[in-house]
Amino acid sequence: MENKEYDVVIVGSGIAGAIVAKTLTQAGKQVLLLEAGLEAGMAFDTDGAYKNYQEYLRSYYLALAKVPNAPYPDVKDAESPNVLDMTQINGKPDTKGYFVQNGPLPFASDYARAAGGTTLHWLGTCLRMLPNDFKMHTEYGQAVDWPIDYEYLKPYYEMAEREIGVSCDVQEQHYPNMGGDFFGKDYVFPMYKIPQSYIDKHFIEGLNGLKVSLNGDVYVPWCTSTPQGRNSTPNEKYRYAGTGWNATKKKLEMQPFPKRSEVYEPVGAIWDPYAGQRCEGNASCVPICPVQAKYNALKTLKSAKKEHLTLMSQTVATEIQIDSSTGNITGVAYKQYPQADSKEYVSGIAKGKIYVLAANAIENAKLLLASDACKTSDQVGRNLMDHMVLLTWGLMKEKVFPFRGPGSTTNIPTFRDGSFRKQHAAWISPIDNWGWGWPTGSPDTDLDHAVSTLNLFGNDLKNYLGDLLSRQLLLHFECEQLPEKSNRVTISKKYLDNIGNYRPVIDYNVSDYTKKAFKASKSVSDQIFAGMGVQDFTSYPSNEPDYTTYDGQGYVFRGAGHVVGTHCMGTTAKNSVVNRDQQAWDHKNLFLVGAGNMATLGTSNPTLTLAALSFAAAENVLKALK
Amino acid sequence: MEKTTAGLDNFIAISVPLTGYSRVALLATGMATDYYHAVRRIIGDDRMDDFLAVTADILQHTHDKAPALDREIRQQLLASLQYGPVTRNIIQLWYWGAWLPLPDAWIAKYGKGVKGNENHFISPAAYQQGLIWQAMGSHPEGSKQPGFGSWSIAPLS
Ligand SMILES: Cc1cc2nc3c(=O)[nH]c(=O)nc-3n(C[C@H](O)[C@H](O)[C@H](O)COP(=O)(O)OP(=O)(O)OC[C@H]3O[C@@H](n4cnc5c(N)ncnc54)[C@H](O)[C@@H]3O)c2cc1C
Ligand code: SF4
Repeated sequence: MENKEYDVVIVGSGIAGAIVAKTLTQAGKQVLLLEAGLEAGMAFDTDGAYKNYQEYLRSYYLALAKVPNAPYPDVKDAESPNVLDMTQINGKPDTKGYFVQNGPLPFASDYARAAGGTTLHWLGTCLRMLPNDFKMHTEYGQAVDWPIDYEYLKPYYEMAEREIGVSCDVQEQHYPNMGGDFFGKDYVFPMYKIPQSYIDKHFIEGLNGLKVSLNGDVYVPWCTSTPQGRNSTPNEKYRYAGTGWNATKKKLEMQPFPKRSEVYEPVGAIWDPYAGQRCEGNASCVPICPVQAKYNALKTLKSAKKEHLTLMSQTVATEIQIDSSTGNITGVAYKQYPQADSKEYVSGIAKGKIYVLAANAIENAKLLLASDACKTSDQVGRNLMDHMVLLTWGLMKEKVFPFRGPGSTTNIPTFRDGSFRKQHAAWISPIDNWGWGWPTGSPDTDLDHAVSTLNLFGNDLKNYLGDLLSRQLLLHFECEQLPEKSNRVTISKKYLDNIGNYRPVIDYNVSDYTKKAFKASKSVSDQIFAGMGVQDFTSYPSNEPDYTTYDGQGYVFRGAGHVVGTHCMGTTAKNSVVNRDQQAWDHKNLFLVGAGNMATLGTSNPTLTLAALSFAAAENVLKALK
Repeated sequence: MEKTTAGLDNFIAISVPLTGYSRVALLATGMATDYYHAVRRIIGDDRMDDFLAVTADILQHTHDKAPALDREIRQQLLASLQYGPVTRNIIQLWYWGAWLPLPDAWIAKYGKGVKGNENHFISPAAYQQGLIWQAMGSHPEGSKQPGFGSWSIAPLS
């Protein structure tokens, strides 16, 4: 295996790597994919895939804290960060978890190092970025413009929406400054929208007509059903069978169904195409969808062309090797461990004509730093971003029955764009369907409080819980973070893992630009709660890991899991790591994929955008291979 | 053997007023035997037999009827340094499926021979059968899924 030269070597089987692998193998290229996670997670046969997934599910049921990584094995040879390891940083680095957190504030998101990557435990929200998100500098004098614009990405967004299987009613999508042709004439999504929740209906009704003041301007916030990567009823007007390489035109294209009578078929579980054809309302999408109605990258990987794809699991890429005279990459060095937590490993070098790093923003940065690669710009590892999520919660006047359905089915898009971005961050507000679970640990914390502190039992307890838990409302204010040089991933010989690989060292903070948005969004929340008669229970205790103050007020933000921006795309080799083709400026046969390429964050969850970019990257790799 | 069955019956009988769910509802979770054995395993036979003796006595002399029953549960169980923590744990076991560690003070005084007192779900099924989900008109997250679109209307029950 070591001597074989593949067309392309890919590192990482998350959505970014899986899309590239699928596109290239279907175009006839020979691909080697290295995946750090366990072999069991790579099983695609009916029994193996089912058995492995049931193990994940069992771990989830038994986990006391049902955090995103609870169902998935944490292997010492390819560790994953865990939100439970996050603490306040007091002067010296926090080294308790996989991340070495230098602070001053801890980076609050995690990811999964397992086959399929972080989409195993993502929520599945699939919003496109807005046109102005690509030109923050021109429009608002903030951060940078991207070297590409919304129009460039539009066809790739359609490919990504096909691949993920997005459910959405296009006519309901109204965003600020979206322009007249955001989706294109006659565009529909593969499936109709996921039904909005009972909470949403009450919330939308309550919000109706409410005027909100912000920085002296008056807004009338509105709600929109959220596009989601989970299965719903197919839209018979949807016309695309998939995405393919047109060798003559040297272009990726959406391919129409061969017959007019054909309709889109939801992609079910990897162990059974009929399982998970509809979202069944398990209400556990994060951390695990029991029936795989929610998209995960194993679905994409499964549909790659097998004859052209070689998978190596338990294989951790450690370094890319560079020919110092040409700058070209000559191989990827890896360590393959025989079983979980083993100290032993076998070393090897994978060789291809082109190399694609798809290990996610933090792991990609680590690999580049470990290899002394992409040095010209000094931007590798910098500009680490995430949505900083301010939560507000309260009790609705009536019972709205949360803890049911997908995590969120509606959002307030009103503050996603506007001239206020000259002063402070934009945000999106998903309405949460899972009660106060995120901020307070409901429902079991409410139970414990009721039994241990309120001394309730019997019918009183039942009625108290029935009332409290069915009225819980939670809003997110997911605030944009700008790219900043000092928010960064580095490596140090002092911090190595079980098999001698680097652990990510993270410096992280929140700037006033985002803090101002905490203040502004909290004021919007206060007005909404008052206008709807929601009893406010929000609190921001100063002992929370990501506690910060602005203008005399304390705030607690949380990570969104949106790990973005460590190898940003830009206009020159001096200001960025990759060019508009997602090719490393310094190494012509190296492509980087994933949210690390994003120059700014905007207010949409990043995966749809990184998936669209991954199709574009795959096209560029195919062009380069010719 | 007979003692076990009697003990189990007692355990279920006191669980009815403690949880606010009927005997049938509790049996329907399928967890009664597992919880009974789990508590016995953790706090030991002696403590378990003491607890069941007190609860049997309460049920008998209150004729299993509120308000006397409620008062006795408060005074004899919840207010008791010995039985309070165990009682609260049993309530939470039924509602959530997990055992909570008994407090250090309890362990120091009554905890000789206590085994497996750490916070844990009794089994995957215990999580799935928690009564809390019924109480709030839902289903356990990640299990007993109610079907496509069910979340867009109020629960039927
Ligand atoms: C709780 C949570 C909820 C989220 N919800 C949403 C959402 O609703 N919408 C949205 O858009 N996004 C969401 N995200 C973000 C989303 O999950 C990620 O953006 C996305 O999965 C990233 O895909 P990726 O392929 O770039 O990286 P990953 O999915 O992280 O995949 C990287 C892969 O590379 C492998 N790998 C890593 N290092 C190595 C190595 N050295 N050698 C070999 N292999 C390696 C890993 O094992 C993994 O398989 C969420 C994230 C979290 C944590
Ligand atoms: S609500 Fe349930 S079935 Fe639907 S996607 Fe989430 S976990 Fe899967």
